[in-house]
Amino acid sequence: MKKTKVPKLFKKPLSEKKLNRKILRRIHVESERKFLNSKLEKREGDLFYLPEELSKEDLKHLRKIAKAVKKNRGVLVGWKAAIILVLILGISGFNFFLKNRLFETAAENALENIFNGAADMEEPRLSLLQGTVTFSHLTLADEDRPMRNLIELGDTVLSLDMPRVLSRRIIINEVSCKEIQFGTERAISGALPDRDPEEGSEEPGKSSGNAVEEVKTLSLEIGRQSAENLIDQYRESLRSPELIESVREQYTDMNERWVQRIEQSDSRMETLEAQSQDVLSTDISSIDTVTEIESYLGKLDTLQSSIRDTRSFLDQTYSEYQADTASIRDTRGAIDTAIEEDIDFLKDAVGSFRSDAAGMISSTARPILREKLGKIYIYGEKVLKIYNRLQNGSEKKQSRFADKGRRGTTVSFPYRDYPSFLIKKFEISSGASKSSDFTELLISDITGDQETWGKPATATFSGSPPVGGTRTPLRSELSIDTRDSAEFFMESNTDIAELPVQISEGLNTLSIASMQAVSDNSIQLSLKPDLSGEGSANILLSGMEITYSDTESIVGNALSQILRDIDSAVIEADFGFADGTLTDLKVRSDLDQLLGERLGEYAREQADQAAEEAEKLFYDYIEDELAANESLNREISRQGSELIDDIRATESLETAIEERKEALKAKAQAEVEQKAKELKDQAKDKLEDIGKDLKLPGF
Amino acid sequence: MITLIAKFLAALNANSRPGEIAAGFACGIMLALIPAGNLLWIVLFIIFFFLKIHLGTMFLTIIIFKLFIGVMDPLIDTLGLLLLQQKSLEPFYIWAVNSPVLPFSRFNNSLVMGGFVSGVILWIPFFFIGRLLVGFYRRGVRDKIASSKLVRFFEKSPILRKLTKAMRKAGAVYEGWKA
Repeated sequence: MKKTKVPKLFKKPLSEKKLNRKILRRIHVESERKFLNSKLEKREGDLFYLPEELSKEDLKHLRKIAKAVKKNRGVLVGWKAAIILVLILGISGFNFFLKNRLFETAAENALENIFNGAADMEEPRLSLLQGTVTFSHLTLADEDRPMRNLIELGDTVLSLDMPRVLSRRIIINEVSCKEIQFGTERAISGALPDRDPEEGSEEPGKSSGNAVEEVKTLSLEIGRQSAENLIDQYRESLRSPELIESVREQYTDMNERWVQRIEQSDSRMETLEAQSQDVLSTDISSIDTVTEIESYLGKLDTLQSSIRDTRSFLDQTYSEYQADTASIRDTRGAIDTAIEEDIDFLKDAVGSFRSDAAGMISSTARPILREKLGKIYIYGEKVLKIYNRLQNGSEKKQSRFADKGRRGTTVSFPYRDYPSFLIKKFEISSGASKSSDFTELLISDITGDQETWGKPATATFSGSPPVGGTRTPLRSELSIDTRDSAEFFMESNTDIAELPVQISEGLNTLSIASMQAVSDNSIQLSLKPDLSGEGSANILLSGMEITYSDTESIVGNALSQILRDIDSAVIEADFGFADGTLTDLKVRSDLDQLLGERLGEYAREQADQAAEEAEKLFYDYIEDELAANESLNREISRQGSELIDDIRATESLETAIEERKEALKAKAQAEVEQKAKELKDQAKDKLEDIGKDLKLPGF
Repeated sequence: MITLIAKFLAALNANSRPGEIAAGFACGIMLALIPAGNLLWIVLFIIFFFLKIHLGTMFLTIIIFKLFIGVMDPLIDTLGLLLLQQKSLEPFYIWAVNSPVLPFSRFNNSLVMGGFVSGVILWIPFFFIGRLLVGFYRRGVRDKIASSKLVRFFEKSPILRKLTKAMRKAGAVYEGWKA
C-alpha cells in the first residue's frame, strides 16, 4: 500500500509568524483553518509541528490544503505566465528568423502590384521597433520592356514613422538609396506570368521614321526659284486665268448663239429679198389701169408689212447683240484689271521668298523637336498611370472596430489626418558630393491621397549622367498635383547643360549632311489631368560643326557663309499636347533671322528677276487664251456687221417700196384725171349735140 | 454558461481567495460597462486575463451585466458627454486623438468614456462588496446550504451531476461539499 507522505509545506516546523503569513493567510475557509490549527502542535521554541502519526484522511486533507495555499500565492498564474513567455519567444523568433523573409515577400508583392513588373529584393533587414528597413539590392522590371529594369537600387535604408504606422498608415520619414540605375538589362524576363502586357504601347523609335518623312515633306520655299514653279504654286490664287477662261466661254457661247440668230436673220432677209424681187421687178409704166394699180399697191403694202416685221426683228436682234457685247466688254475690262493684280501678286510672291526662307531653321527643327518632346508626354503618361494605381490603393477601408451595438455619441476633436500612404522625403544620391559624378534625387510628399496631405508631390534631380562619353549636367524639378483644385497634373522644369547633339537626318532641306554641337537645354512642361497641356523649350547650340551636303545650292552656300563665323544658335519652341499627341509646335530660332537677312539680299534680286519672268510667262500663259478670245470677238463683230447690213437692206427695200407707191399714186392720179377729162369732154360733146337738136320757144 | 456557473460556484465554495472572485466580479462589471469592439476593451481584457483574478466570475459577470447594461446606457452616455465636453480636458483629448494608438480606443465616444470612467470608479466599491459577499457567504450561508435538503436532492439530479463534473474539470471541487 502506498504510503501517504506529509506535504512539503508542513514537513519543517513552522514559526507562528510564518504559519500566519504564509499559510493561514492563504486559507480562506474557516473550517480548513480550524482543521489545520487542530492538527498543529506547539512545541519547544514556539514552533508548530504536525504529529508524527496522522491518519490517511488527515494527510489527504493536508495535501489539499497545501495545494490551495500554493495556488493562492502570487498575482500570476503559471500557465498564463507560460503564455506570455511563449508570446515573447514567438516574437523573438519572428524577429530573428521570419520578419526579414516576410518583409521581402510583402515588399515585392506591393511593388509588383504598383509597377506591374517583377520585383527582386536581396538581403532585406527589418527593425520593427526602430521602424527601419534596409536591403542591399532591388530590381524592378519595366512593365513595357520585361527584359529591362525600370529601376535598380543598391544599398537602401528606409525609415518609417512608427507611431503613424501603428495608426495603419504608411508614413515614410526618409528613404536613402545608393547605386541607382535605370533601364538596366535583366537576365530573365520581368513580366509577371498572370498579367497580360497592355496593348497599344508605343514602340520606341516608331515615330522617328515619321519625323524623317515629315522633314521630307516640309518643302522649303527657297527651292522655288523658277517663275514656272511660282506660277504653278500660286495658280489657284491668280484671278486672271479664271476670268479669261470665263470670257472665252462667254465668247464661245455667244458665238454659237449668234451664228444661229444670224442664220435666222439671213433666212428672213433672203425670203424678204425674194418677195421684194417679185414685187419690185414689175414695170410701173406697164400698169395702165386703175385696177392694176390698186392690185399692185396691194402687193406693195403686203411687202412693206413684211419688211417692217423683218426690220423690227433685226432691230430686236441687234439690241440683244449690243447687250451681249457690252457684257463681254465689261468682263474684258475686268480681265485687264485682274492681269495687273496677278502680276503684282506674283511679284509679291517672289518677294515672300525671303520671309519663307527666314523660317527654314525653325521648320527643320520642328520635326526633330516633335519627336523628342513626344517622349516627354510618354513619361507623363507613365507617371499618371502609377499615380492612379497609388490612388486606387489609397481608398479608405472601413474600420474593423465599428461599434455594431451600443453607439453612443462620438465627439470630434481637431484631427490632423494622414493619408494611408506617404513618403515625406525620398533622397538618393550617388557619387561623392562636389565630384563630377555626383547625382542626387530628392522627392517629397509622395502620396496617393494628396487631398488629405494637402501638398503636391515634388521631385528634384540633379546630376551629371554620362551621355555619349561625356558627363552632362542635368537638373530637373517636377511637381505632380492630383488634387481636384489643381490646374495642372504635372509641371516640370528641366535644365540639361552641355548635352552633345549630333543630327544627321532631317537636315537635307538645309543642304546639311550632319551637324554636331553642344546644347544647353531648358524645357518646361505642364500637363493637365486629361493629358493635354503645354510647354516650352529653349535650346542653346554652341560649338556647331556642320558638314554640308550641297554647297552649290543657295541654301548650302548661304549657310556655309553665314555659319562660318557663328558657332552658337538659340532655338525656342512652344508646344501643346492634346489627346495624347503633340498638337501644336511653334519653333523659333535666331539663326532664322541671320539667314533671313543674308538670303534676303539674294531673294530680292531673285524676286525682281522672277517677277519679270513671271510677268512674261504669265502673258505667254494667257496669250493663247486671249488670242482665242480675240478671234471669237472678231467673229461676233462680223455677225454684228451682218445684222447691220440686213437692217440697212430692209431700210432700202422700204424706201424703194415707198418710192414705188408714190409713183403709182401719181400715175393713178394722172390716169384718173385723164379719164375725168375724157368723160368731161364726152359729156360736153353730148350736151352740145343735145342742144342742137333741142328747139327752145320764144328765144 | 453552465461551466461558467460551475466554476463560479466552485470558486465560491472552494479555498479560493475572496479577492480573486471579487476582482473578477469588479472587472466583469467594468468590461460590461465599456462597449466592446475597441482597443480599450481589448487591452483591459488582456490585462485582466493575465492577472490572478477569477476569470469564470469575470465572464459570468460580463454576460449577466451585458443583458441589463442597456438600462444604464443613458447614464453612461450622459457621464461620457459631460467628460468629453469639459473645456479643461480638451487639450488632452486633442493630443490623444492625434496620437498614434489612442484613437483606436474610441475614447471620444460617450459610452466608451462614460463606461470606462464609471467602471474605474465603481471597480473599488464592487471589489469590496464582492469580497464582503464572498466572506458573508462562506461564513454564514455556505454550510447551511450544503447541509440543506434541497442541495442533497439536487446532488442526485442530472443537473447537479453535470455541475459536479464541470467542477472536477476545473479541479477545484471542495471536499466538504459532499460531507
